[in-house]
Amino acid sequence: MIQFTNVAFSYQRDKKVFDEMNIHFDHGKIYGLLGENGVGKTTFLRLTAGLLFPDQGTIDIMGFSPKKRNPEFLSSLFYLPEEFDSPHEVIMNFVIRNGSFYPSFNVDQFKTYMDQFGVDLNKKFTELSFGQKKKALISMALALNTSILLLDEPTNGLDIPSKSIFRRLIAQVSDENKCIIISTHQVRDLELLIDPIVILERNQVLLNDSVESITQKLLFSVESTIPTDALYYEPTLGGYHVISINHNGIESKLNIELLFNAVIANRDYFKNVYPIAK
Amino acid sequence: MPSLPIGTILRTFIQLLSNKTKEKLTNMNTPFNLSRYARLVAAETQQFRKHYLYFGATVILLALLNQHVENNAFSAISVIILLIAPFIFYNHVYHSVKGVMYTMLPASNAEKMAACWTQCVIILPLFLWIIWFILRVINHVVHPEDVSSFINVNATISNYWNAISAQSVAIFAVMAFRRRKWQTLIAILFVIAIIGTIIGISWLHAFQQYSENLPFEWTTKPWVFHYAEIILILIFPFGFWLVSYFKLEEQEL
Repeated sequence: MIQFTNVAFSYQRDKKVFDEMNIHFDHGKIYGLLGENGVGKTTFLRLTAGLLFPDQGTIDIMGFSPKKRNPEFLSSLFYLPEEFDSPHEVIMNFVIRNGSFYPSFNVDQFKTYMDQFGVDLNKKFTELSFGQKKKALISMALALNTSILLLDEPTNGLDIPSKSIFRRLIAQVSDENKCIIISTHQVRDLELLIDPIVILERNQVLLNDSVESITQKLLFSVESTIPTDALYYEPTLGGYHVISINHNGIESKLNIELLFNAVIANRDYFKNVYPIAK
Repeated sequence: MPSLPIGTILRTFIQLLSNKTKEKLTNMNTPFNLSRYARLVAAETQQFRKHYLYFGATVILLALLNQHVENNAFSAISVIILLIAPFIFYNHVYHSVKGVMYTMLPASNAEKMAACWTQCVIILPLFLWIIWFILRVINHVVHPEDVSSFINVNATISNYWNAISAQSVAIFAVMAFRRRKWQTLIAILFVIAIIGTIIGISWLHAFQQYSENLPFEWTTKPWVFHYAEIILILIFPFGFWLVSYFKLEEQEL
């Protein structure tokens, strides 16, 4: 569905954000895009959306080159940025005006989502708080029913009940034909939702694997002492959260935050050994 | 020809566009779709309605202050509005936040450029013309004068053409420059003016030395001027419109 082949991109000539980047995203999945600040998560989403063009390499999205911004391509993808403009108009008018360009847009769906989030359709964007604006745009993004949905930090600014509504709505709209990519730092908000997990590092992809595969390769446990073969550990109440290599095929529950910290702390292992580990 | 008035053509065109905006978009694989284009024009007109209101208010205010409305539909203030409008309407084209929705809107670059052109070259001038017409009628009622002098057609057409020719450079600046669009344009025009003046003066000096009969007068325009006029028309506005389209294709946020 989304294929990056040898993609290179830089904002300045000597500072490459991506170099020889290869990654594939499939339909029917909700990808969690993780990475430290400044590794290029937003840049990746913008390249996918055709808002930025790669310096080298090719990006293929359902047979389209995002750079060409073909209307068919644009109508099958929606990118919700972290920061957005507040148009001086009533939400409903704005959404109907823009939504009418998307063949699969469903206004009733939009109204239902807005109702679930508890945001008044007839208010102006400028009258809403940041979180309410975000809810309105999330509702719009979901009601457009595009095949690819790119969400940049969607839970930032959402209150606790809204985060739960967001998770429910994402699970509801997700189907076999859709590819949803969520870039986030709030991994706990989306822990049960995202699968596979993609961790970016400057210039490259450190990890791109499904939750099932990760838990087959790695064991997440709480131990009273640090095991000798621990790949990574963090102190917790009464012991340690530990990640070790899963030699015996024991089932464990993935802790994304711990995984992320482990990946960042063991870059070489995840770059070289992990991809070929069984 | 008077049997086919411009009003009828315009009404038919607006009706066609209006019908097209109501159709559900299904065919997204064509590079130019009339329905999408019409929808884009309608959406932008709705989006810019406040700007239109301010432009209209400015024209009316100046007419009230002057207590007079010229018989040229495109007087100085209308020309100024036509020149600054692209900067106001499309200032967001390169804005990393404000430009996202516009760039991601499912319409081709050709449709977006055509919508921009329609907004700047047709709808805005038409809006200004309607305001002028209403003011002119009021002016005519208050200060009755000969009906034949109601409109100076030649001056109106000439000013309109000159305005949109100059406006094409403004559209280019909007599509080509990422930041400080009008400032960059003015700076470039200033440099060109200085270089042009220096070259012109040097050329005249050289010519003066060559010919003793200067300053000279031509009874007819030399043939080269006709070609120059054609080339100028090709550049202003057609060339700049075309280059603006290519710049829009290269736009990144």
